[in-house]
Amino acid sequence: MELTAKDFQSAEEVRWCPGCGDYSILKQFTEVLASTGSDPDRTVVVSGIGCSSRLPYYVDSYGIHSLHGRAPAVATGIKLANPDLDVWIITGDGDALSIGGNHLIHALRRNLNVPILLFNNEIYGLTKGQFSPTSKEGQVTKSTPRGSVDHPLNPLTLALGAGATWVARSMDRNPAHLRDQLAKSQAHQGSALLEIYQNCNVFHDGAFEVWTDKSTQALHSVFLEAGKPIAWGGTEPTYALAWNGGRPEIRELGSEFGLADAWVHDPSDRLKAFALAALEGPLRPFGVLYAAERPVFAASHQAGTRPLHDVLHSGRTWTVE
Amino acid sequence: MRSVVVLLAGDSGDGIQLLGGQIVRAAAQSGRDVRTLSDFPAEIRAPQGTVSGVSGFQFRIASDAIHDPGARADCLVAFNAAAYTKYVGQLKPGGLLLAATEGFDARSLALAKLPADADLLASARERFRVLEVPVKDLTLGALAEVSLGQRDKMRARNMLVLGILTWMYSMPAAGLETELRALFRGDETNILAYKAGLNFAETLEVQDYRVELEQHGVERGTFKTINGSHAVALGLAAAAHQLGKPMLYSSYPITPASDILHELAKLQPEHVTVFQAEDEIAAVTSALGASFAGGLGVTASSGPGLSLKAEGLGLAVMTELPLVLIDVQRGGPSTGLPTKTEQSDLAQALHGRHGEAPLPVLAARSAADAFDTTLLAVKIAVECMTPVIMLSDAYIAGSAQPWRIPEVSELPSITPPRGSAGEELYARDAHGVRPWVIPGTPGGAHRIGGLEGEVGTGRISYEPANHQAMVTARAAKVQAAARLYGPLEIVQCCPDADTLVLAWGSTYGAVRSDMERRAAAGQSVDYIHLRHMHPLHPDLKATADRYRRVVVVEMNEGQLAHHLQGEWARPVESVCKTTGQPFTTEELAELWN
Repeated sequence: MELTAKDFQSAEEVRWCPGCGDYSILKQFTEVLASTGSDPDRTVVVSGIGCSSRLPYYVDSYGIHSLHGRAPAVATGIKLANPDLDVWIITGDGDALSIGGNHLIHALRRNLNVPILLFNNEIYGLTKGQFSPTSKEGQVTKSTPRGSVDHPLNPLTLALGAGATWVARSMDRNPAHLRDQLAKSQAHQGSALLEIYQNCNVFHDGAFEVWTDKSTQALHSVFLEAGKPIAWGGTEPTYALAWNGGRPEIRELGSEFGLADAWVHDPSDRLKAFALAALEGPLRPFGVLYAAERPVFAASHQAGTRPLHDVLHSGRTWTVE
Repeated sequence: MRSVVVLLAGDSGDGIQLLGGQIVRAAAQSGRDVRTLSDFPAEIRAPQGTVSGVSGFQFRIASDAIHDPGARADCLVAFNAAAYTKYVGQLKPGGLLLAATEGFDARSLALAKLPADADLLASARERFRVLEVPVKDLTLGALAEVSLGQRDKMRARNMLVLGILTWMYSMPAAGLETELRALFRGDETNILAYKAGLNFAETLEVQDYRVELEQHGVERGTFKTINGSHAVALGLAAAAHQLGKPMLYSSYPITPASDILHELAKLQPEHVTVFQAEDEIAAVTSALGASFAGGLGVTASSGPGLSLKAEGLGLAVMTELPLVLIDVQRGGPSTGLPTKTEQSDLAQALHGRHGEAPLPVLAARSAADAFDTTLLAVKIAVECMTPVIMLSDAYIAGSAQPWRIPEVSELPSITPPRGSAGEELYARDAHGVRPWVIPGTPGGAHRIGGLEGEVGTGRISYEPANHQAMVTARAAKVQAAARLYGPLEIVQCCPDADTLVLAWGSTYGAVRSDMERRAAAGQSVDYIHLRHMHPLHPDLKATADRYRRVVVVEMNEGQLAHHLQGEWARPVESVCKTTGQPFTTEELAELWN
């Protein structure tokens, strides 16, 4: 019997603020679980603490709402005990990048076979509005009334630097794109870091509007596809990126510079993935920036096989008759 | 009974611990009982020849069963002036000083910050019997034909001393030679030095110093020498076997707990996966993840690592998942004395979590006992669905003793609770234990977490009465763990005693020897050595109530004494010290009466 998204929705009352971007992410997530034929008996959703980390309660599978920042470590233990389970990590910018930064980078470098869905809203929501590691410089929050002075972290360059084998970005307000990226993250063998721009309409409304709103999206968001020129601007692209000696350059398409001259996206190129991830200005790439193959963690951590009798009698022994 | 206490001391690079380990194994194999005590610097290679770089290894060999490594030494083997300076106070008047001649030259005196004209050996002769051995010359002489530099040859000095001691304490020399051949895989250098020491002792100089120790009647079986770290590793391997499920041993390097990690990584027992985590927090939370997934998570730490794991323990209490934390206590707080022993984590183990978060706490008393206590810790964790802390310490971790290897059929059963999907997640059995429904169980999908759960269902609940009910239920479940304890063991019972001595952990050997001495001297005292720190043994209070005096002996500032006074609302006397060194029997005799 084929399951539907409804079969993956638990009976728990969903308690995010009305208008929160998390609703869309939950909806796309359950739809993807259904469309990819996930088995609720073998699916485990692991989270830390924060608004995003409430998600496992709303999904009718196995789930554990663990400790602030610790989801990657909990998931590591789950995978070591049973590598056959389909484990997902749900986290946020504070959870993954501040209190849990250490666990995140080590899960990535080990290539733990788990998609990591990082809901980035550039704010601490559940604790009611303090600046987060991704908050912009100057961002006014409850704990930075004169503006944040901290330079923000870029989750994607961090992930690439930590040795992630799959790095992508999507957004709450583009359900089709989000579903596609979620399915790809699940299909990847290894750590798949998917940053999801998620609007917190209470404490940091409109943070990503320029990239998510239909009126501005075409000019500022570029949707990457492997093997295709990196171009944007409308139904017919008007701009494209050039790989100018290692520096991404925005070019207007025309007689001087055509699509054939544009940078063709190759997700296996780590250097170029860094360049895309490092685009922090008005232009933002979405989609899979980087995808590579490397042996997955847990495959290399097999349980021992030595029988107990041999273990007990290991080393030098003597017998008294 | 006859016993001798020998203290080996030299540079941390002199191979003192290896020398000690070999001699202990030889003594145990020859049917003597043995206990040891290591004392080494926290630095890997402390400055050579200095007092801070001295490494010590004490052992006691006896013709009958003993419980402690002894107090003052009958023999001090000093490789250099610094070693002599550090330990001479522990040598009995009239005892034997075996001094490596070259270690008392001008350079050695300077390194030990002693005046150039200090004649240590001359003054030693006034108080001790002194046997000067030109260890360097004998070693180089024995290795004259070996094509190695002098520096490399000198590494075999400890084997030369091993030869001398083997003869002095009448241990089986041929058996030891076979052992050394296996250990050094055919490298003759060490064997040559060992034999030279043996010959030197036999033919020349040390006839007067030979000590004959009878072989005591040991039980039958197959034996090995174990220290506390090896014993815990074997205990975990045995527990995993009895449980028949995956075990994840997850830990972060820290002294002195790391040796358990090394042992398990080397042993590769079936069912056991070893994982070195990125930090202490990841170690405990990955262990908990394994328990959620249906394996058993085990972690270990020492010192500050215990504090870092408190958060993870709280989640284990709340989610009611099995977890075992082995705390190899060391001197604290903070980095403290990383290689020294202490029992100062008891209060944190009992109480050191936010919220009402009780959990069972056990304490091992010796290396051999650490095997049994580890098995009990796993049994309680799994059968009661709770995290368990097992306390060991640096002394137990590093001290060696002979141990009869048990048959697999002798091991206790470990039975997981029910795990079918039909029941409510937090439905409790007669002992208050919830089911363990593991991911992969058809129809068993559920969510757990750190938020308070509803009675029965486990769904999130902030209801006041529900929180009270869950707090009470979790505590009652932990109390019910006492059903898995054996009978209360009274170690020593004198007729009509009015004083009860309570001790726990690694003080066992010293306190027991002290009790035997007191009984022999006509003092009427009974003694119970606690293994169950929480919940206390159900018969303990009624037993203690029969005594006018209760004396609590421990290596901290009175943590168990305070705890018992709180639990029992009666005064107890506290005998304690916090020096980073274990009690000696002599010390205990002076500390209370």
